[in-house]
Amino acid sequence: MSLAEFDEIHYEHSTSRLDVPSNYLMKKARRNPSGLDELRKSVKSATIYVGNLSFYTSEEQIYELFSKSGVIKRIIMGLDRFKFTPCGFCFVIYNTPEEALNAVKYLSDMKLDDRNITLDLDPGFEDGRQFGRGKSGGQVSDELRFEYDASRGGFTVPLVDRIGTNATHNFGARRVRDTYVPGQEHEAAEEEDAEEEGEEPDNYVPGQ
Amino acid sequence: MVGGKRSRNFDDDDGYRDFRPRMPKRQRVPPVVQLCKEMMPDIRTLGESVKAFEEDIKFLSEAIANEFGNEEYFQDALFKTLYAVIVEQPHKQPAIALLTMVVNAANPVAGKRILNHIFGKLQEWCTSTIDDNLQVTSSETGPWNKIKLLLRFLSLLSPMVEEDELILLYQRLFALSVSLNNVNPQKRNPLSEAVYCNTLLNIPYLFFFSRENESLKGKVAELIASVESSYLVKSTNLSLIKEYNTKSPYEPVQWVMAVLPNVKRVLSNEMQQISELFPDYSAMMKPQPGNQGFNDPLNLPTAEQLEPFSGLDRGMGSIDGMWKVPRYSFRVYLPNEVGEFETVVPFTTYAGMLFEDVILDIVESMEFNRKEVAKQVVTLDLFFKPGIFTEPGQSIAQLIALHEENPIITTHKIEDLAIEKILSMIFKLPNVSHPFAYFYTLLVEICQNSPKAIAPVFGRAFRYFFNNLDDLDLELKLRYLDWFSIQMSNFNFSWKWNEWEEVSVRHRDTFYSPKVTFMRNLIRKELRLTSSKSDVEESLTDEFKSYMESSFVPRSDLTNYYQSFFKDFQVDSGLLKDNTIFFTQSCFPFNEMIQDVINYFHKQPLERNVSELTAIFQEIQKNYGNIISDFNRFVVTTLMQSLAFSGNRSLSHANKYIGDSRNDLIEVFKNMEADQGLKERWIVEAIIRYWNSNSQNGYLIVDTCKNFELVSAKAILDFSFLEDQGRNWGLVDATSMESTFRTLTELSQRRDASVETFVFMFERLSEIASDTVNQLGTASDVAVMAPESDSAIAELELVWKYESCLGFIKSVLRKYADEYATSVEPLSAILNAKISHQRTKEVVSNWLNELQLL
Repeated sequence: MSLAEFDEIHYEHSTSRLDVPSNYLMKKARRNPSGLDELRKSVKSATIYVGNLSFYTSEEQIYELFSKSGVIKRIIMGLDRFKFTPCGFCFVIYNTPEEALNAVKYLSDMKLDDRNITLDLDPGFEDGRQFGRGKSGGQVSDELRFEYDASRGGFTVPLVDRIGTNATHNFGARRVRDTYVPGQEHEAAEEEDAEEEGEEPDNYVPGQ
Repeated sequence: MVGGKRSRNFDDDDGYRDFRPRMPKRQRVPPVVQLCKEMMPDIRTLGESVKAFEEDIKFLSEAIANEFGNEEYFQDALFKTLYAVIVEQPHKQPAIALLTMVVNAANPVAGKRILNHIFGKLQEWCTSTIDDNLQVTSSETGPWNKIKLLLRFLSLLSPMVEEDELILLYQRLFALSVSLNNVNPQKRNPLSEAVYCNTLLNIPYLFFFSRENESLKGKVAELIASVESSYLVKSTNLSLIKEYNTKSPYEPVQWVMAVLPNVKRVLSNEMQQISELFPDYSAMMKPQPGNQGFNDPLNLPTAEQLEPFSGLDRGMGSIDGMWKVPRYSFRVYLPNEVGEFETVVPFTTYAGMLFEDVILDIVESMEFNRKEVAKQVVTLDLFFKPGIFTEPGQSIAQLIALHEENPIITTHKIEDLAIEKILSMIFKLPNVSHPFAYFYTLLVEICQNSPKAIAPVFGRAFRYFFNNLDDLDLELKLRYLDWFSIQMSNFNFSWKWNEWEEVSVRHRDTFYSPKVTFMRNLIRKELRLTSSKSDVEESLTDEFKSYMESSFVPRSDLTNYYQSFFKDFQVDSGLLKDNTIFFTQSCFPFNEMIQDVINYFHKQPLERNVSELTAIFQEIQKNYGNIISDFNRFVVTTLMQSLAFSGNRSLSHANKYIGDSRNDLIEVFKNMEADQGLKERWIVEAIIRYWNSNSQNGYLIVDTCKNFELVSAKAILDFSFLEDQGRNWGLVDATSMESTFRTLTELSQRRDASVETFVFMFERLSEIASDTVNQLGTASDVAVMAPESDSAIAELELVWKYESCLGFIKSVLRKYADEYATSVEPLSAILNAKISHQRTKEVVSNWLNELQLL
């Protein structure tokens, strides 16, 4: 789907802008009939999504860093939907949309707790979005990760279930790249797609 | 592999690749679009590779000359791209000018169209200088800055354009600056200064490609002579915007004073300085007919039309706005710190001034992409003559060795230059053009790109500010603190703390020492930025380990606070712990009832009734009223601490609990017979004491209370500047100072708010200053001076306190000048009533007079 002004090639500036929707957001919008509206909302919502946080990063730390680009109205920590503990993302709502854009321009890729945080525009917070959407309750992206990450819950996938540990038995086999779900068959491709790397619920309803 | 799946879905060049077979294949773009997509980025990066420059010019000019006139889309893209580079990356202007002229030689129609386009833009900006409704974006540098840059580009095209037409542009701009300057001969006119400096600065560019042009030289000499005789340079001295309070480590140079001598010098001596500054592109240059002219004369607004805009205080762009107050050069890397040589091109040369101008323009106009800015500012040397700067990344030690070996070799470091200019924007007074985050992260970005070359440059800046901290403006101290902490948190908090040990050893136990206060605040800020305290702790040397203790007031003060609630009852300070309410400890006979208060707040708002709360307190009063000295104060404190405790998991929790209980609190407080101001002070105090281990949280929760209208802005300030045994936390603690500025800024943004709180702030600070100077016993006609010997600690403390207090007055007056300027009379009255020390009165009264000029 064409994304109107977001797909245009611009010559107005001598370099690209950093306060534009990320590729992830663009890709999601393309698959979504109301994607263009969502994108337009996201530049006006005063809300940003912050990812790749350490589980141990507190709201106060986020305040300390993000208040440098504007007046913060509210911070919503992303929580594991079963354990209600931080699971590595949050939403920051500023007073004005400009401040949110400033944050995206100025603070993306900064380090917080020794991690490079990722920032993205966001169409606006709705209740329920504060929870991780992974099978385990955390973020899906963590379930796609096989490396050890101490500040994001270590191994999300238990050692025994990790692909590659029994490499001797499947020598030459292709690496499996689909969403890993312990002890479960993979689901239909469509759903797996929607789940992929998703911090936010995909509100695409087929046929709508 | 993480991302493996994702990367399949993306092409290298343009993002998403649709992979579902039922979808049509990605649409192919029309050939002209494809051409533009490939060619425009080459124009934007022209000159970044010195090696490929000649070929780039050749291929690009051929392509443009051939393609021009075929498709409107191409022309449009080309014009936009050229214009964007000219105004956003002014260091690339000579390269773009060369390209334009080579195109002009091959295809004069194309050359003429480009010239027309740029001139059209210049006209557009001239018109918009008097546009009341001009909409500016955050990257807008202002119409006058755009006029400067476009004029510079046109000057570069001097071989291609009729000389007289160019000179006419200069004459008209100078005439304008002269008439604006003469509108009020006594008063400085910001716009006049801006136009005068901008235009003068462009003159040497006329000779970039025309160094041998004798007739041009003659005309320029006439031009300069005429402007010199007709423009009266006015000297202004505003102490409110000085970065250093008493003595500056260097003599600041004012733009308007330095520009003409700089330009005259660069043009003298057969223009030797020009050939040392600008690269020589003559080998690539093609002969120009030199007869292109502008279609219409430039329509410039008159001085009368411009007068209402000439204060440059209407927010019409960042760089233009900098002229609102006199512009000075700002220095960080002073020659004598390292050796007897300069590492930054001096501002008193044309090159130094131009570099400052170019870097500021880049940083301001590309604020939407700090990564690009980070790259451009440290590679600026590529666009000037080789030999101006040393090899990138040379250390100071290497420079010293080089300088000893050969004293005439250059010692200018491009890194020092770029960082110093960016720092000048962070430390800009009276205000900053962008949120601080931009500059801090820009510097972090530069450092990340080449840590080895940049980290020592930062280190020298950190040391320089630290050494001059005593005299640094109070607001700038906070900015320095902020920048330092951000930088540290991005680089594992590693800092050579041992360098500052000696200062700590000497003044560790003082309360007001600027340096010790700074270090204390810095370590606390670092702790607030990380969840791994051990990272900070490991970076500290033994001397500083004690600074890890981040209590707002010492434990003994806290015990006294809680003791003050009781009579005939001794509190057990051993049970005082962080993150709990002291009153629930077993030493208090009513502890279970306090637990009931907490339980009450844990209930859903709809399932509770405020009468339950009243009942609990009635019960406490009945049974234990005899040991509680002021029951109202006890109730307020208990309620607020219970809420702070219930919401201690995070700020949003606190926010939720206070919000849910707001009506209950108002109900209880309403029926209380106590002065409203006192009640509010108790509220603030209860929260700050509860969060004694983390006063930032305390102050943020107090903000929440203010948002829910439980306390006023004034109550917060009143509490912050309370004095206790000579100690005043509002003057030294960063969380408290930030809260003060946050509170005042929020008030200033509410346009309807009265200035009462601002006046109160001034009055309170005047009282503190006056008390301090009285304690010092300094004679009325003598300025307060630090004692010679370091041993008179008590006196030194008072001097520091006095200086912080005056610094605070200076900062608030400057920062909230719009609010204070309306009430100069009442302020003067307060000043006369509160301060008897004559010298202090003179200083503050001078600031009050300057308010109108800000």
